[in-house]
Amino acid sequence: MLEMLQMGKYGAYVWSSYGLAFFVMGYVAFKPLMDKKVIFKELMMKYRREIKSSGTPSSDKSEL
Amino acid sequence: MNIWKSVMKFIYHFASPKHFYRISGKMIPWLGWLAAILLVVGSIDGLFFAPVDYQQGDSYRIIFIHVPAAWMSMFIYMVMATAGAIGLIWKIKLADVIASSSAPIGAAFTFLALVTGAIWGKPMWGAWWVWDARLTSELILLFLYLGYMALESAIEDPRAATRACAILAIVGVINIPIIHYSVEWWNTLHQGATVTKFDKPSIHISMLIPLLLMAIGFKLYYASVVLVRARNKVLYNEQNNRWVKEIVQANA
Repeated sequence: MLEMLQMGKYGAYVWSSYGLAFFVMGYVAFKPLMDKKVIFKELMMKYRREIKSSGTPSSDKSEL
Repeated sequence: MNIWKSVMKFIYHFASPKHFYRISGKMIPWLGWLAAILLVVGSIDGLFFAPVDYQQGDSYRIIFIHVPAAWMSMFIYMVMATAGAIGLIWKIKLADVIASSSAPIGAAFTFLALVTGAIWGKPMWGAWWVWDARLTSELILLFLYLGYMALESAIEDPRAATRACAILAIVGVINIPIIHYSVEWWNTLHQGATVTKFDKPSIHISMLIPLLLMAIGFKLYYASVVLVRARNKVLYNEQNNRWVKEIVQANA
């Protein structure tokens, strides 16, 4: 088993290649999933602000 | 003429942001999981089951990352340039979104192809880097991707940025055949094509299978990631439309 992982004398080269690919591709896939959450949050806040500025304050005034 | 009109109508309908958002949402989990399975199986097959190379020993196992990454670097560039041209000619906004969503993924694969090539080159050639045509043209590809991304963020008017980026991508296509044929046109340390040639592939089936598994895995990975990125952009661009409001509020 250990022999298999050592890859002859090339373990460092082989494993660093696969490790790098894993991290780079993991980041590239993970980042937009995080961005999606940020966009949803941002838009949600924007829509709430819009409702507030168009709805409630004006109706408050009309009651006065 | 009528057929052409209905074809275009179909394309515009399919490429409408709302429609795209719905369909792509259904496709992403399938593409993503299939990609993950192929990449895991391909890696295990390539690392542990493919036979040792008679000349290069185990170091050749880098091929299962290096070659698919290099293929992707060129494939994604062609997608980017084609989508950019479609956006430029037919004003289909979704094509522009696909083009700009592709750039960072293509840049990542180009970076991987270059770095894994260097890691493979050190024990086999005795050098991390040589300035030959294959390596240099692939490095230029990385700069094209980075230039595209820099141009996009440097121009404030989004429509002007999209046009400029599309033109840059189209002009840069000239580099793709140069990369592919560089090993034939110039003397080089880099080996020639073993799979992508008209002749029979000169690689044994036991090594070809993990290579193809990885190549298909990389393609599906790209498809799923580019769709996630494109959906984000569509949602942001269309934020003043009712359907986006409904989706966002339904998810709150």
